[in-house]
Amino acid sequence: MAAFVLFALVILTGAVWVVTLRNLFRAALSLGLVLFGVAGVFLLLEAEFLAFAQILVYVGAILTLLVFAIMLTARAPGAQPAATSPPTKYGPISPGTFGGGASRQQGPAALAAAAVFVLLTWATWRLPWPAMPADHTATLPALGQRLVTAWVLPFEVISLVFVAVITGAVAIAAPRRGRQN
Amino acid sequence: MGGVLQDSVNAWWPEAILSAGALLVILTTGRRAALTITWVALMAAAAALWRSPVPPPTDVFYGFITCDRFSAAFRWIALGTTALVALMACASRREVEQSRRGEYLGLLLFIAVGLMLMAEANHLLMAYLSMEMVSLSSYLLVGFADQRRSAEAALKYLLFGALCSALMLFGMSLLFGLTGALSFGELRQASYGIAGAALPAALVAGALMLAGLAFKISMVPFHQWTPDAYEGAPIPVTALLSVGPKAAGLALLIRVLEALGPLGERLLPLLLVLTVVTMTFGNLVALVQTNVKRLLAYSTIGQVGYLLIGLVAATAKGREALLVYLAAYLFMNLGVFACALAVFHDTGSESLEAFRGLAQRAPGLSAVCAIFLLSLAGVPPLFGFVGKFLLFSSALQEGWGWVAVAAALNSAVALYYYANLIRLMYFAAPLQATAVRPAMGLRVALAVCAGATLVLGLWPAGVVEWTSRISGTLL
Repeated sequence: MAAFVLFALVILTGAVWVVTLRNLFRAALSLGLVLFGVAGVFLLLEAEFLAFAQILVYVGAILTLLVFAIMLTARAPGAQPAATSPPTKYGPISPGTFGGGASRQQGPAALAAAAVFVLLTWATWRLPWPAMPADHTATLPALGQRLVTAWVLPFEVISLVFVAVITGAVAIAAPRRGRQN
Repeated sequence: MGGVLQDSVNAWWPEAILSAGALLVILTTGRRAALTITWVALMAAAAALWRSPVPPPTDVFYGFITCDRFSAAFRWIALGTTALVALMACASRREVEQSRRGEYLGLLLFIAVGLMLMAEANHLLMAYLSMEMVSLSSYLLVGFADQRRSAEAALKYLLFGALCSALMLFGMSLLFGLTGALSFGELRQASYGIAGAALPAALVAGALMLAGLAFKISMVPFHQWTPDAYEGAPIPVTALLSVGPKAAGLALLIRVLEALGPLGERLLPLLLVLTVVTMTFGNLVALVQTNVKRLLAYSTIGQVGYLLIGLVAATAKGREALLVYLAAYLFMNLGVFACALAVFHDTGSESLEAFRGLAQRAPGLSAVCAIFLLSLAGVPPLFGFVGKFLLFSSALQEGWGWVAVAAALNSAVALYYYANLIRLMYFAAPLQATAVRPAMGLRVALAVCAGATLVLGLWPAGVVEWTSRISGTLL
């Protein structure tokens, strides 16, 4: 229980920082905190493989990529978008890109998020969750075998999705002639 | 084990061919090679779909997808949409730069695979994956136009879509926690056992799942992305978004509601109210639009409202009406977009004013455009009327007089803005005098759409019989 509370606190603190910090670089690092916390919860649930995959893939690869993207796109690492500058309609993507920055939309967004939270808490409070059968532990070889037999279709479809996304993203981001701006 | 996989692949050739085509097209650089591969893949997929066994002898891919008659109908719709959009994409050279044409056509084919998978999904994981395949490729395609506006639209679409996917995943995870089931069949069985304290949680989970699907079919209140994404995207992509994901989303919605069993029935009143709100909102806001893509975006929201009537009715009759109207909607809506594309090629403008006096500059184009608009408005004897008539009568059959009245009032409102476009074409003075010459691909697309709208409107018996056979097998 104590371990769960600790991980939950880590996740919640990180999550709040991700949305409230004005500095994108620090927000990205806070995201790393959240991802570590989630890996911890996986460990508590005895899903060791998932926990290590979470750290390897999310913290190791995706977060690094994110930090690189922020460092390459911002003028300097940790550049702060000026809070007072007027929002430009087609300006660079910053927390202020969508109409007047955080100030105008923070209220309604927080309200909507709180409403979803209350709804979910109300619905799941003191709910008797059916327990999973005890023999549900998956070994790595069994997992690998199932990925290429019973689960082959989702496995292949995921790879198609990745190919589509990567080539499309490169095509959009690649420099082209006659580009405005 | 080998037998199951072999049978599965046999039932799944169309998607496999399209995927291979997409992977090949991405590698090409020349325009001719890209077009050849795209069309060969589309034709081969159509032939494979024609020959594919329905229903297949075993569970396809261990029950992850199902290739019954119902999904076959939606696979044809997905393939037809993609082929017509590919015709438009070939014709429009201005919007997307030459060097990115391979990726452009490749993503188009990937969307086709995703749409087919959405209609076949029989498992929560496949439902999520297929929707992400369509969504992610759509976000990218929206950003393909060489304009700043396009990138902004793609980003807005991405952020909104990510939110809706997250909501849907949360709903799915709750449902899995409550029932321990992932495949639709098991989920349906488990849903009958849900009672007591678990019921509110299951209903919330179902509603959250519907949020993700509502985003795909742009149902109110998850419609906000529609006008912006439509306006920023290249016109062929807008045309694809207005038909493909709507049809596949409705198919998946039908299956999910079926899988939710008694929970789905409890959610139907909520859906019915949203249906009426969706059509009313779309049609009313469409009245004040001045950009043709935004107008068609709100018109799409209105049309989705009509289609939802057939879904909420949840009877064989309602599904039959839904399928007929979807077939009509495919041809008439893609036709209108082809007209808008022809006008855009000629004038470089997307405003309604660009349609001024089109009848004097291009009599043929204006005539087919008027046919599509009147069909969208539901004027007999066009194909749109047949579908609308069936939809409204399915509402009356359920005893929902007020829904039918609301839909009829909506049709009257819609007729106003569709007729306004016709008025601009026929009774306003043209801005220039030169004749409009649509590209060859566009002419073919226009001819196919106009022919289907007219012929199937005059002789709908064949289509109606076909769809009634399909909707009968599902229940």
